[in-house]
Amino acid sequence: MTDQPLLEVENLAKHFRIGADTLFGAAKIVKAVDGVSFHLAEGETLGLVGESGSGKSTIARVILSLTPASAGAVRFRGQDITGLSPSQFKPLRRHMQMIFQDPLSSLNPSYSVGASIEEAMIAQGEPQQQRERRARVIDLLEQVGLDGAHATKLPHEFSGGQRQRIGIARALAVNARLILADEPVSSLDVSIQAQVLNLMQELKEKFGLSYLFIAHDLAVVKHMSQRVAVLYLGKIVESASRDEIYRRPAHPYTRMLLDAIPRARVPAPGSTRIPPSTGEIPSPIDPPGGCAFHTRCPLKQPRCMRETPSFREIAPRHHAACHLL
Amino acid sequence: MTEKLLVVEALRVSFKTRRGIVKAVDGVDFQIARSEILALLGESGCGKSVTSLSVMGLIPPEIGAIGDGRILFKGRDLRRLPPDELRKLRGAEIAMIFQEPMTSLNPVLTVGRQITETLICHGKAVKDDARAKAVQLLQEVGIAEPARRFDSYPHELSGGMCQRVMIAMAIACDPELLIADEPTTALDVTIQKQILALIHELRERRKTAILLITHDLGVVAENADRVAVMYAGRIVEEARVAELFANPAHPYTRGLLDSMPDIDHQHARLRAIPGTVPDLAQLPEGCAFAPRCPLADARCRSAAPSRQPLSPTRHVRCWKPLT
Repeated sequence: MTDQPLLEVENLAKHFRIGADTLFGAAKIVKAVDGVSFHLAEGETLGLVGESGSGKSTIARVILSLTPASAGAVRFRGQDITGLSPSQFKPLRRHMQMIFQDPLSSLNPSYSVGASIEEAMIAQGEPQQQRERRARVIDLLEQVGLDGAHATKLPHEFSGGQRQRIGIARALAVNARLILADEPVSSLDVSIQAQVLNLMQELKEKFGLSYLFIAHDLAVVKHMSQRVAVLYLGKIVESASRDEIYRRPAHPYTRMLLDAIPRARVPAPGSTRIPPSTGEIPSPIDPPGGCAFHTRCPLKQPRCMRETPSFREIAPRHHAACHLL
Repeated sequence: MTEKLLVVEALRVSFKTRRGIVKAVDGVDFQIARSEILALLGESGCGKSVTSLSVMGLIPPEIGAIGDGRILFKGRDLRRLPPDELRKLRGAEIAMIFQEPMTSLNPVLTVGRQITETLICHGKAVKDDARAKAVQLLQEVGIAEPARRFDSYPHELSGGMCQRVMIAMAIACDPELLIADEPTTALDVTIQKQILALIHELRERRKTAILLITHDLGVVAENADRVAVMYAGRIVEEARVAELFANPAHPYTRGLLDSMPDIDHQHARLRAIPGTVPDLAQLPEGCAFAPRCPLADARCRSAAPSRQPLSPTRHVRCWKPLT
């Protein structure tokens, strides 16, 4: 393993315009991603956690050049891949693949699943021989725990968990090194979710894959990741190794998230319930000034409303953006 | 007996589909006492929502057939009530909230109007005092600036606020039973916690009994008094939450608990339940869980276990219960 990370994201920003400039003022800008930096080593899983509207899916879409970045850089094996044209980006896609939340809407309903998987290989131009591609489809389906003979079936003939396995097989079809998994198990039942998570871990060990694992479920992220970054309103507010962030969460938002997870054990009789946090995630169209979390923070100080905290190292390899740390 | 608010006995619901008769609910029995929170826990397709819709009398007869079971609410069989009496009872004595608050509210009416409509319709307010009562309800469910929010449309509110409005509508007539069908599934985890705390508060303040339908074991453990676990249209285990989480009796319950990633402990692999939920149109003979069960033997595959008491508070449907 070299020191060079597989993926580096530096000060990445993605702003969306809402409406158009008019006589009465400029169009509104939504800063969906607002200066995000992280890196991912070969063979590593980085968990990206956040609530809806935190910008976690947008980050994945920008990395894959499905939407252009507004600012910042994405480097893959040291090469800056920001701002590449679609034809320049195409050869990179074989290295980076995405798994989506809803496998049904990400598979073509009128293609057999075998054809969907084969299409990924055709797009990358190899294997060139149809016979080889077909053999590989069957091999891939078996790798993800399905029957190779099911290649001729249509997506709707499979259950949700099976369809997610097909999505994974398609990502593997081009020998991807980096998999961007956007809420890969959140539409699955608990018993099936565990099967898919186990499969993702087996494949990672077998093929040395790296995952950017995006999810809102902190328990699932913890299970899958070596390092975790917590997003709030388009910014990373805390990042550290898994054990560090779950044992010593520093940012008040991380602590709020961890407190909110329902635990599958019954509270001891007479124990007091931790009161819920108040407030909701503000609109990214008009985010609060200063620290964006101050509207919900139980510890806020006057300074938090004025100054944006910097993202800095608060303990070895543990970063957070909070004035109080 | 008046102690039990709701008694469901041998409830069966089946739907005619192109693939044959689907037995969505196949002999379900449970009871809810006043001010009790009973969770109906299960994965998609297990019949938990169909059970709740049957209690509300919301299964259209041309689509689904309800068998000869009974649904007794305060001793009266809801299935024998004339339609107009059932309609009066629905919303007034039994109310329901759903998973998608955004789509359950009428998008073209202000939220205040939707609450006053409920109040006036059930004779709990007249036109003059409806607004004041609705604002009071919005306040009770924790909406900031209720008088201003009265005039908001659903799209102007967040998902969490819409669910609060749904709850305000549900409690407008002070129902004795609230059915909450996955009330927090579409919400972020911090908002989920707020809504569940609100539901608890209502139970404490108004003594409302709650049938909480969910797939989330954590939601059950922290919020319910008792739990009924459903699998393939049947309740496979029923217990007090403390009993169930300390010592699950049914292998399916054990499997569900094992397959959850645990935020407080780290395991290399999750113990997943193998296989998938059976097709309700082609249920296996014997116990429906047998094909996925590590303990299944020949008897499990040939004969369905009946509902057995394990203790006065506990029932299980299993030939080989774990406790």
